[in-house]
Amino acid sequence: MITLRNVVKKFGTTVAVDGVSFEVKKGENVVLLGTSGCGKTTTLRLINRLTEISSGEILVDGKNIKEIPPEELRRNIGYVMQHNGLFPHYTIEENIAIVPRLLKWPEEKIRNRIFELLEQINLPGDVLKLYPQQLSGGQQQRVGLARALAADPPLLLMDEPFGALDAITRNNITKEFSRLEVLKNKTIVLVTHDIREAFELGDRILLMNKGKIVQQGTSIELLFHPQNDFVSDFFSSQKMQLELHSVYLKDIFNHLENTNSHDNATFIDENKTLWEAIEFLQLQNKNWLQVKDPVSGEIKNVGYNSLFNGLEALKQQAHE
Amino acid sequence: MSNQSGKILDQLLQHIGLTFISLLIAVVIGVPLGIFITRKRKVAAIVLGFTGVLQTIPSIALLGFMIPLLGIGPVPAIVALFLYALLPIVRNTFTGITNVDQAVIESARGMGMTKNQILTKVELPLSMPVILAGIRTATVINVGVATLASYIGAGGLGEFIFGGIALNNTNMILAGAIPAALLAIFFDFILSHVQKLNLKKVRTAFWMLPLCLVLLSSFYILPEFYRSKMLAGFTPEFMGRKDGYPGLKKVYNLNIRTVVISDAVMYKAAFEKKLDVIDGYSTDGRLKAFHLQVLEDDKHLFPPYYAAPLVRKEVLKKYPELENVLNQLAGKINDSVMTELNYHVDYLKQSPQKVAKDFLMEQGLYKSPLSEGEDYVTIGSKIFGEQYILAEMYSMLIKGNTHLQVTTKTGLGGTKICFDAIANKQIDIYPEYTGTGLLVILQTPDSIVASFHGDKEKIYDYVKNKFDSKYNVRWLKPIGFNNTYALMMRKKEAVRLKITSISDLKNYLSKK
Repeated sequence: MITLRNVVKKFGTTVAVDGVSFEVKKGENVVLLGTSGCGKTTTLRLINRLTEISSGEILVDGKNIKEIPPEELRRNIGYVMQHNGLFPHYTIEENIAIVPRLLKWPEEKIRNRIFELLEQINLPGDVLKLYPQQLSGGQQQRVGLARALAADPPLLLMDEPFGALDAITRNNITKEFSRLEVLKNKTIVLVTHDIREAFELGDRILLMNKGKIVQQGTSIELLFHPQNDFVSDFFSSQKMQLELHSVYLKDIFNHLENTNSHDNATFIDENKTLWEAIEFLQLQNKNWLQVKDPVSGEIKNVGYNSLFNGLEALKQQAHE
Repeated sequence: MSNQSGKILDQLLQHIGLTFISLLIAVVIGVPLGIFITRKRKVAAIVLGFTGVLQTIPSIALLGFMIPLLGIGPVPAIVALFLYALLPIVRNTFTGITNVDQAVIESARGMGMTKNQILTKVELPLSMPVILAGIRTATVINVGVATLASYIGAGGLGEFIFGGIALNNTNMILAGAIPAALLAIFFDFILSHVQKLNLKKVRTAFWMLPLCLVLLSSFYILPEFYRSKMLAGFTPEFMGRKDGYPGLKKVYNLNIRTVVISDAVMYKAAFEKKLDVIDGYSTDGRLKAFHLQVLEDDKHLFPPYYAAPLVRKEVLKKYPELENVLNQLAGKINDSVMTELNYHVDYLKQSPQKVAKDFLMEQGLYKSPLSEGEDYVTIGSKIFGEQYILAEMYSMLIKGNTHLQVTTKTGLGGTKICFDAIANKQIDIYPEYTGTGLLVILQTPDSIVASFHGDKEKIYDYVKNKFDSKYNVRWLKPIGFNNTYALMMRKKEAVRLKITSISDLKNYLSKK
């Protein structure tokens, strides 16, 4: 869907993006992760030509983007920004309709599309006649997403889409986004500096530093197989939390110690993360869980200790 | 006043027209210019600086600059007003557009809007309140500055204001000033409401505005040209005085197309053939400078205007020595000498101070200044060269012969301002003319004026007695010259058409 080959962007003498190459497959969610100034946002903006590349090439759907007029390119790529950039003088309805109108859709089609979108992103219909400043930050961000999705582009670029929200709203909306049906079939490139967000939303994570990609892979690959000190240091501050978030019960089933004697253990889906399993135990005020192996159908009764031991064993195995 | 009341509406409409034609041009040029400099930031500083400089040019000076380029009448006035309106409009357009939230513009680009779409759908609507604020400022400025347009024959409410100042007629001043003030307040009010309309409606306002501008501009019905063979430019004072244009109509039955114009630009306009006939003063140095010829007043319309110093009696009582000092000039300057002195100032551009000193030296009247005491007197003058020269002479005489300090308040714009100043004790001395005292200040009834048969002695005595009893101001001895009103034409044309007197002019005009 997207291919970057040895892409360089210079601003004067400073090199913002320094020879970046990667590929994004159709339907994949890729996260560009890194600290401020690492070149992740610039890389994203190169894809829809908000910034022009200095050298290298970018292909979208196999076509070099330099051969597509920037306006046409952008109309077919959804773009969501940190500051939602909603037009303050347009109603919500008009805001969402911008790209379809640029594409000269018939009004009837636009109207239907807007109602469809509202439902999908959980916004009540009565916001349509309101102006952006009358909505909460979370609602505005949802409208921002709806606007990006309005013309149903196959590709979505998101630049810190939740960056301007408070921590709680941000957490909720991130979870919600990861489950949104409308985003399921989209190819998404998302930029963030928030590691948890990256782990939650990214099929694949590209960790960037000083304009270069340091390592790319799944969250588990990055966590358990850091290629250098930069990568391990980057995750060190929240390591335990991240591990619990990214390891699923099914991943460590073989390492789990079965304790036979506990009848009041509660059954839990093996597709839950360790974090969710621990949360579940605490909420239910229980000490034991029943987990089923997806392959053999074997059932194990496990406790807190067993979960942590299982994680350690997995890490040991990874290092060997 | 009765015959003038109908004029208020005319002048009001002219005023609105002048204001809005220039405003319309300023919007048509200023808004695109403002947009342009947001795209070319390097030019922005230069353009804003330049329009800023235009703004600092005094309005009268700007109008004066226009004469050699564009002549007189509505065109230079509109150009000058346009230049004044430009800065607030360009600056606010620039500020408005640069202050639009960058995130909004970014998102517009990100969605694939073209530059033009971003301009018309995002930048202009969002900066509209700021742009409208600029237009509002420009409107109020223009309503004010448009009063000055009457200086160069473009009409408007200024005709009343400056006529009133010149004629010592407060009602006339108010007849111009009140509508002008109300106009400014009215348009400011209307535009403040347009500005407050919510963002949605601003889009409609954006199209309504040019429409209204065009409509209001049409109020200025351009004067019909070529209705008579000649065009006369008369000062506001001359237009209203009994011994001015109304007298010309009555005594000579003279009918000529006229425009109102300021004394400062009138001679030049005549010289440059923008005007054919002007009123002026018989001792004016510009007569010589601009090759003009005085037409003989063969029916004795203009009363004698012998110049003499006016002094407050209180001051004379306190410093009795002043009287003799000021009278040293009595009988020393005749018409041709005064014209010559004026020529040195008006045309040869010598300073009034130098001309005054040279003359006093030549006459043996100049003495080096004596040591100054605590007390001082204030000398005033009207705003033309002759008065500056006389004020300088009196100043030198006082300094050379008394221990008084002298301060000057020169360039007071007209008889009313000068006389009010002396009546209110803001000045102590200024040179005045007997005819002006008789007609403008005393407003002497026609019957009494007629009884003098133009006798200069009788008029001087009458004015002297009246001022003494009525205002506590003393006329000292006449200086000698008679600076009367006169009609003048370009010498060449007068010779070609064989016009030497006002009657000749009348006959020429009424032919065909």
